[in-house]
Amino acid sequence: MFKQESDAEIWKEIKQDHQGALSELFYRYSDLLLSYCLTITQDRDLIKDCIQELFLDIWKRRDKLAEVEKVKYYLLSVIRRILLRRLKADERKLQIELPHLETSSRSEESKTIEKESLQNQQLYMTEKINLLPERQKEVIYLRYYLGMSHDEICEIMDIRKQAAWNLLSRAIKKLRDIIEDPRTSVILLGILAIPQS
Amino acid sequence: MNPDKYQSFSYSDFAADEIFIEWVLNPEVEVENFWKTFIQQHPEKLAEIESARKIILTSRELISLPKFDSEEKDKLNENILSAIATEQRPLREMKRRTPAWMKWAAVILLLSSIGSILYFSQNQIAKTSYITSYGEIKSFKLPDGSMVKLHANSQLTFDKEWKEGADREVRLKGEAYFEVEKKLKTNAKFSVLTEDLKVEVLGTEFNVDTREEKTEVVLNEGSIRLKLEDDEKQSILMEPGDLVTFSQKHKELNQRKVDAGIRISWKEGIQHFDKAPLAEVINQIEEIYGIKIDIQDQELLKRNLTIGIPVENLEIALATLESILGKGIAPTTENQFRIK
Repeated sequence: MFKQESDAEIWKEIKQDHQGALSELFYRYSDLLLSYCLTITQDRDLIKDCIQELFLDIWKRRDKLAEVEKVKYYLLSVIRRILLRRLKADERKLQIELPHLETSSRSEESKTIEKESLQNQQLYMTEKINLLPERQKEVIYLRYYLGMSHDEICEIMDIRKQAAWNLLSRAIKKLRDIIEDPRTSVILLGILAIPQS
Repeated sequence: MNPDKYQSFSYSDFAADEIFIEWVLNPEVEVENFWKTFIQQHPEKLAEIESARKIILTSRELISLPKFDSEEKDKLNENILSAIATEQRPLREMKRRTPAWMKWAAVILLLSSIGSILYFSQNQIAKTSYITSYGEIKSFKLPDGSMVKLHANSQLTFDKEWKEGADREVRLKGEAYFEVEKKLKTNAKFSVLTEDLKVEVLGTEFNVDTREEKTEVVLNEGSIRLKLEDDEKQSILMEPGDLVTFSQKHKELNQRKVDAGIRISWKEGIQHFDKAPLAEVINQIEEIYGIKIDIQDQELLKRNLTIGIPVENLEIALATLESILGKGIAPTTENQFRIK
């Protein structure tokens, strides 16, 4: 029923003035938009503002919107534009330093705790991944989490193929350093134990 | 797929390769066989392949962790809907089926559609709407400085810009408490419109409740005049402590004295009841939280309670009722509860 409608159908209904469809789209994608935006900035309030702006904008321009096949890509590329514009306008720095400050003290602590629980290890690695420069994080997110193709990534991030390659290979090298850290072995076993059919 | 290409690959080449990533993320038989064969033929690549898989799966797992909690999400959705409600053009009627989780949102949408049609068919002045969801109270200032506390599941709509000295008008669905700024110089009137009547004031404090197919006005301070919607000439002058209800639908007018303090206690976060029948208490809780409460023992409904019910925390509200009644209240289905 409602839940099984495709994104394209929901999109059509929005164009036909159904506010409920807009909310449906919001609930479908808010988590994804949040996790994507967090690869660009750590400012949660700003992200919320941008998500609000995105959906408001869709509603206001619903008459003029084209039929969109890949709604997910549309949402991601628009939220990215909004977010970067706002970051620039606010003259907020792309928050690279902030997680640094937070994590340096925390990872000091975690060094002293040798027998970490699974959750602590996960936190530790998440922190490490957060230390990746934001564009590397973004490319990893689009590539490994959303499974996007190289071309799609270039389109969304608005960069040339070579630039995307460079970002990806730099990120991969850093990820390897994080992952080869001996203290993360337990969690890796957990993830890799997922059966491959 | 050409296995030769992969002979010179290192872990970082694998981790960036489209086909390799596809295999790791969505293994399908065909690709799975390709890689199994490749590993058998090139066992020296196993370490690089394992390393690349680790990188992909680990970062995929960890980068997806952040999520909104559901409260945060509902709030954000509500913000979007309220922002839409202030849009200038009329909204068409909602036609779609709504899932249970959107129940309160649907109420807001329906209200705002009615409000918008009423207003925008008349003029094109920009409107502002404040909307509360179930179990939520909002306080805000009107353009003239008057204070409003909007009770749960309510909406207040008014012109975005108010001219100095002009009469002030707001439209209410649900329930709200007003503290009106007196305009000494201009004597500008302040009016609250409901489906049933118009409350006209100069500067005063009062509560308006439009739930249950009627409008109830309680005056706390100052004086106000009520004008019934069907008869502009018939007006009622109210004094502090007066409670007036009027239903346009049932043509019923009632006037009595109440303890205004108790009636408007919701604005401090707790709705007090003084020897009120359980039926009334249940009714209020249902309205505030958008839930339904069944009761097995019908006789119990007549029992009078003196109780304070929090209006922004359903759990505590039900626990309070439970302890006063000495009976358990258990959820049956979604948004449904039963007193045993």
